[in-house]
Amino acid sequence: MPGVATTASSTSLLSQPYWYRHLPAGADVHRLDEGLFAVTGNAAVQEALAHPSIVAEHPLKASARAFGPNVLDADGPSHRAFRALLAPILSAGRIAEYKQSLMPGLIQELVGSITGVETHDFYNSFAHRVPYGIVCAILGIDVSLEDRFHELTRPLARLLDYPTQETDETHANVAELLRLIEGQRAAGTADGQSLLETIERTRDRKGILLTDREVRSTALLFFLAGTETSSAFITSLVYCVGRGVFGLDELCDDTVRDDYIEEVLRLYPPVQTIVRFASEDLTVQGVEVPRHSAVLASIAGANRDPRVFDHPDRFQTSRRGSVPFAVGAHACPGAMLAKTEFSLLIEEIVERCSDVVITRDHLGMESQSFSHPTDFSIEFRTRQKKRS
Amino acid sequence: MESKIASLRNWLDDLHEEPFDIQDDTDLIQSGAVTSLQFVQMVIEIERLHGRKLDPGMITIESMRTLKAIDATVFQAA
Repeated sequence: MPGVATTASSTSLLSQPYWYRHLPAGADVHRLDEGLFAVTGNAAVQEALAHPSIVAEHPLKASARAFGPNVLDADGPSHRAFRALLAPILSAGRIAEYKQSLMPGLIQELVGSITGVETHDFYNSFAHRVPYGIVCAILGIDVSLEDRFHELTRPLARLLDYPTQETDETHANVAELLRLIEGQRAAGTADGQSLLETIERTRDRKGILLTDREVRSTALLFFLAGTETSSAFITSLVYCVGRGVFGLDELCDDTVRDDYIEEVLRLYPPVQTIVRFASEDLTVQGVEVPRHSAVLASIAGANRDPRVFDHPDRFQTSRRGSVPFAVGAHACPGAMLAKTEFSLLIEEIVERCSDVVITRDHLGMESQSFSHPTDFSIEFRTRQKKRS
Repeated sequence: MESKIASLRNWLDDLHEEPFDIQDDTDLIQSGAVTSLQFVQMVIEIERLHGRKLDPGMITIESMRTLKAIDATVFQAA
């Protein structure tokens, strides 16, 4: 077994992007400290995430303390009940509706605002607009409140990050967002089609035993996950387009575009680290993990495992085996919605831009839970219309 | 022999390079005495000091928030 790091060094290790690279090669399960394990190889990560005794629920976990009982922090029947509530909102039929009626306007507006522009802060200025527009519409939030939701939600991302940042502000923001969500539901702004109303109908129809508080916490986490992960990934996506690994014209093809997005997801999964807990003494890849231990599964490490991906840091489409949306019972339920959004966005950028260029790059990366490149500038050059 | 709560206080002290004032009623999370992951790791230390498995109902945010609450819920409980 590899050497044990001190607590201070494990905190500092986990604050680094690509922390898995600093662990000894040749092992997939690392004991960082008493009760703290890191899992890095592709097979080991998949084993840990699908392990029936490695669970999401822990009463002391930051998100459980901040949000109360919710879909992220539940397991077993309770988790299945939460997922059943979200299923109608994320069905193929609903996604086809969003693709037809909701996404195009938001994406055209965003691409219209970046075309011909060089920006030094794409993430904070532009990346959130489409995901917030989509998720606000799904939640039935009045469009005038989008900026307020963005302002309140972004600090909450740090609650789900490692190291976690938990402050009075984050707790106040949770309370305010829950109040706003409830206010919007009461105002009936979405003609009965809002997320909360859909969830409540599903709950009542299926006889699912969840309280109003649990439903509202789930709605808020759906909002946070749907907006901040996508904002982070859209930043990675345009960054890769700007790095010019593919010609823009190649991305006109649907299949090429989908493969391209899969490869960006492999290299830049927005959620790089997932924390779980051992509910009993168990082993992962033969390493003993005592009960109550925190188990940090590195999605980033799994996606760059050289035993699965030749030259893992190289951009190369048509690979198989990455797990950007995790695996097991807690795999991201919004994966199809997100991929649809990303594909339409690239399609529109290709349509309107002749070139997308990174004009400054300090190669920064930020966050474990909403990871994205930072400290770069990008220019979206306008495609000249062909003369008739 | 050192009491269990004193041992736990020492464990918490050892997490910090600089002296960190932890009173019986200090909120361990809000004061920054522990990070979110250390808060989880603390359960293992409490169980080790206690000498037996904690009843799952004992592990709640309120019962783990301060040394005083941990002592009352775990170490002094019958």
